[in-house]
Amino acid sequence: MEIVVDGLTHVYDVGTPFARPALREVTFHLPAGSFVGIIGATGSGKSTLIQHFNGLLLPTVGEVRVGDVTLRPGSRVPPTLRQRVGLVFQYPEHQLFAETVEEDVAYGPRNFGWPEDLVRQRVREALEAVGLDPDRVARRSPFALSGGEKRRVALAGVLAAQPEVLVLDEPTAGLDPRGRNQLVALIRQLHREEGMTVIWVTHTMEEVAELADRLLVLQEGRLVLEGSPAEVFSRRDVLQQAGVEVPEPAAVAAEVSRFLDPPFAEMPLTVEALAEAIADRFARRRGRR
Amino acid sequence: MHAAVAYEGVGYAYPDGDGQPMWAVRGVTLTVACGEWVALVGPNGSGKSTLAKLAAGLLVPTEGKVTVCGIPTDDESRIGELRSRVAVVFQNPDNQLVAPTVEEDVAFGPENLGLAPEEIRRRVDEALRVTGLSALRDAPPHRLSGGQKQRVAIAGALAMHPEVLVLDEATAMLDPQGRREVWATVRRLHRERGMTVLFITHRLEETLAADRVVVVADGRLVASGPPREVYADPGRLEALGLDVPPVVALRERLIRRGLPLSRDVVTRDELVTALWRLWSTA
Repeated sequence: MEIVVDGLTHVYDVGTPFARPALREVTFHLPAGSFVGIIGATGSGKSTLIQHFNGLLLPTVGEVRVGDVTLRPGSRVPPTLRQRVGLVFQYPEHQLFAETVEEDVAYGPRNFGWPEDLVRQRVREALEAVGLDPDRVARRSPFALSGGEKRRVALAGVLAAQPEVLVLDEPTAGLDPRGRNQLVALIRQLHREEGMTVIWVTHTMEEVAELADRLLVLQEGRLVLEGSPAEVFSRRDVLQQAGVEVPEPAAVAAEVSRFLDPPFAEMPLTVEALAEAIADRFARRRGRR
Repeated sequence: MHAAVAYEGVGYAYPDGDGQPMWAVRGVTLTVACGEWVALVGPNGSGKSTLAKLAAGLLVPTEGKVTVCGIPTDDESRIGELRSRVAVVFQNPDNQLVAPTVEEDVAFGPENLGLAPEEIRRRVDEALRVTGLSALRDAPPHRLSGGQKQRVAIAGALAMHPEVLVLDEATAMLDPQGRREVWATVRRLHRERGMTVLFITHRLEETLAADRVVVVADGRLVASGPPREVYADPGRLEALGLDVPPVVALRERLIRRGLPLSRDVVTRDELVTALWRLWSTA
């Protein structure tokens, strides 16, 4: 589903002495089926922005178009929007509440008023999609699962609604590398195989380097940089200004590119790509001598 | 002189559903010296959080003994003394904030120590300043961002002036800038007051500045040494499912591709310099 954000400004507590703008005149366009990383420091407006995608927040000024739904100040939010745009908050496992995994995952679909057979089927599919065996976990208490499994249950709860857009706020925070890699692989698969539009909010750029076709960088509520990962990673000045850490491979690449001959035409984004690129320069140099 | 934290043959078991003990850690003997800066790393479920809770006296060992600054953590008569020596900050700040304003939250611990009001004020002001929260002192914690909340939790711990600070993934939710600020603060207190720091992290690059890296897997210690020593052999860490620091991973891949790099190289500057030397003589 296509998302168009046009002149979006969001001010919290409008009309009170506490009024503070969290987003200022943000404009961008995300094509359907894209994989987008939203990056920025704490307080840059990332979480505020994504809550506009399913109407949890409405613009103070400007508009947000999600598929055929246009949200403006004071708009009525069609209930189906919450189903079509699935939002996975930070530490979603803290919001698990039901006595069994099955009930927890079924909570959203039941609220949409779907028939019970369909709900059950969707719950099974969603659990399978996140790599959990429904027969093993469905009847268990979500609280008896490991941290990584709980997060998968929470994600299944969102996937069970079969959203067209999946928005994830810091989905890997607190997971160890193995848990993180599994989650990344899972989201990649949902994106590739189901054609889901994925919006991934993070402050660790490395994890979106290989996945995202587009990155948006926010600073103090403004969109300060937009482009492919390679384009964005090469703007170290802007990133530093925005309080975003430049991925280590990109930082090393920038420094060695000063003396390598020829310098990198496009900055390698991952450790693997950088190792290959450096080894290639050395091989060429030895070949020439 | 007591060690800051001493684990002697420590095991901790959680009861599982059937009443069988599930050992989270077992046979751990480890001494953290006063003023030492120790990083504890390991995959999820390796028992490192249990070790942190044991050091903070939040858990008492099922077998063996844990002492903090000479105080056995299972000695209930000295629990107040223990609480004044060791402070702990966990990953999720929402479970750690208690008061209606930031200032009151940070004052909560020192008040419980029974300090004079002016001393409490001084400590709270200082903790808020070093964590960059002075402007938010009257704010209700629930209105803050995740990173700000985490800094409140850290300020609360620092205001205790603990001899031992235990950080269990405490910077995981912070952005790079917030993380840098917190580390700079903790490092300064470590240097100036000799505060012992025992921290758990998944970000192995954060361990490069530690005096010692301790690797835990399956509830047991599998490696312990200065970072340079531990990262000379990253294969073992990768086999445990840990992400070695990017520079170390890059070094290994370049060595595999035939570049004669020393396994001493662990920082970006070292790697760039080594590559420059190789390039100039290639």
